[in-house]
Amino acid sequence: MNIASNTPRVAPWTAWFAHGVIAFMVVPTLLVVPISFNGDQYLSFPPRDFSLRWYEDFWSNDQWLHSAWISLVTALAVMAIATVLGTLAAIALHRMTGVGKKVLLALMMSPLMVPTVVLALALYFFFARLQMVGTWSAVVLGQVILAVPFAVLNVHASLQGYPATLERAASSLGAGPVTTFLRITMPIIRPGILSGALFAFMVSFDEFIIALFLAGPGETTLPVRMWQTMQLYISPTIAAVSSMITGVTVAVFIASHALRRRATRRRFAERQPSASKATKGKGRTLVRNSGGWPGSGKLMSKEV
Amino acid sequence: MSYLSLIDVEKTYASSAPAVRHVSLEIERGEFVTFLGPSGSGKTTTLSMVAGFILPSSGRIEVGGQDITHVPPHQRNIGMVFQDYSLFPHMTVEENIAFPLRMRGMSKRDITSRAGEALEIVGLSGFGHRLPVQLSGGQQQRVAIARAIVYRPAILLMDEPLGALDRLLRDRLQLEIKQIQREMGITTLYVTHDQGEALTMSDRICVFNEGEVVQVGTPSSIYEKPSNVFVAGFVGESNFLECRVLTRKSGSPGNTYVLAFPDSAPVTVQSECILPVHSEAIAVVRPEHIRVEPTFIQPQPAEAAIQATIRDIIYRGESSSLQAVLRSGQTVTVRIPSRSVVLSPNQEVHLVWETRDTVLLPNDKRPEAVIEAAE
Repeated sequence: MNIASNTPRVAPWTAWFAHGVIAFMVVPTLLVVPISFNGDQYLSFPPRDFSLRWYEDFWSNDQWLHSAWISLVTALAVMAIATVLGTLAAIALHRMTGVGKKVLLALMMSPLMVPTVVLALALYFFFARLQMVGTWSAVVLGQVILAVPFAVLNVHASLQGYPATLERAASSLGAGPVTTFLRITMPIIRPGILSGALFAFMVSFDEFIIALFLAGPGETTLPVRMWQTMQLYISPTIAAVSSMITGVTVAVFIASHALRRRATRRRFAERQPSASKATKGKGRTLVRNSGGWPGSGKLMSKEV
Repeated sequence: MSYLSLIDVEKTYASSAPAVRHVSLEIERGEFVTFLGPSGSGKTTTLSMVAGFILPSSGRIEVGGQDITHVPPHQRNIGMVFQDYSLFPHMTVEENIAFPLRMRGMSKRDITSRAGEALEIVGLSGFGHRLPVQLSGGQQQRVAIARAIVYRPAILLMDEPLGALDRLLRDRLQLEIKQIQREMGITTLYVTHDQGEALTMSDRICVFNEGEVVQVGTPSSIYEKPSNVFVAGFVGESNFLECRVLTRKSGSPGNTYVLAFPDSAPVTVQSECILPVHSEAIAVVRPEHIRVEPTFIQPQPAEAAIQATIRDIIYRGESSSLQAVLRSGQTVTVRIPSRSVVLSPNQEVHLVWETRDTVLLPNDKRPEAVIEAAE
């Protein structure tokens, strides 16, 4: 085993321990996949014969499909609302300084700290007053509370390297505040907004407690439907649904990762090869001088 | 009639002393005016008020006779270049330069040709499709300049545009910016804390200190006739020699004073400055105006001489900097051509300068430099 030389030496048991932890985190989820292809009547492992009957069961069952549809529409609505709110909040936070900023950030993050059951119960009483319990809007608004922190965190992170002078520059060049936001700020923080949106989608898509408390009989989301089904009998259809949800989740996170990588590459593109080519190729006096100094890469350093 | 007027502009912040006090300035069309001062002196705040990023607490700003004090920045038709370049990282060089033109609703064809021209002016033709990260610092600042001039703004504002660049590149860009500015005839305000930069580029320099304008004038008048001790110390190197006014003879163009220095014969100096007899004064002498003579050589009638002991000689390339100590303990800096150095430390010498190279100032505010030198 020849590990890269900059990896520090570790005792062998730590590696075994680490592998054990990772296995514990991943294997139970992955076990669901083979179970879902089981031909048996009951959940069993290892599967005895291969079959797609539980997938077929899902896709031919109107109740399952309806729940999937409700989950999808809910998640999209939550994503839209949470992303807009979270983006605006993150921009405001970015411009703030001092204690106010810390307090506000803590408040925005509080849904992550408060137990979801407590939140769900509180929302139940709140929406009961408004006679909204059992409505789709209540579920969406409740899940928005859980999703906003993710949008805020992602957008806020992408604003970290965003210089405030860009907005000043844009306004000096003739762009009003709205144009500046749409043409300058938005495109630069777009990766953060997109990954915030994906997080918000996922938070809603597999959210269970709030949906259980607030949803009416017509708006049963997929996780709630799974739970209700399990109350009656443990059908391998649940394994099939679980596998599909896992698949969607993995796909979404791979997409978000790819987005982020593309954005990073674009912004911090390696400039050595192209820049040196330019100094040789386009032989203008000014260019040659500005590009040709030894260590011109250090030009950005502030030596005041 | 001046083009850009700052009329008694003031900016105060709740928490501290005023950032900018009573700034009044008249700037002609096509003029290159530099705001020079140490950091925190209010020069950038003043520039930001002209740009519209900061609203003055009181006072007015006018361009071409129109009050723009409350006009938002994007409606002011100004161009601005920042120290950190502030190029839009998600746009190519060409898109960056086209941005202000698109904001002005120009046609695609006009935009392409104008952007191309601007790139040519800053010597970056062929770089249009690069992203800013693919350029060096100097190239990025050229793009920023092109972007700020492409729409021919009424006023060009530059906030320490060369501050992040190394010295050779800075010297080169100074000349280029000056050339572009002169050819386009664009009214320019330029902020810097580098006095060399200010002297090289400006038509007029406006020296800031502690939120106030302490002197406005052409580079040569600022350098040769500093109106106070701060300017004399900040713009170029100066020796501050304490002296006492013995007699005064009023006349035109200036008064004639006879001054007493601690270790020298009385010196006659002409000055426009009005000082009472017997008052303390400061004689400012530039290091390059002093020469070193052996003690046995007597000074000419129009010269002053002070006895001193050489302490140190510092080689600085084209010239050497010589530190000499007066009897009073004050250190005087002398700049002499390196080749002619035949001196050695601890030698007794005469420091000699022509009396007309002396700038006489009242000794009211003793700057740090004076205090330091006296220790």
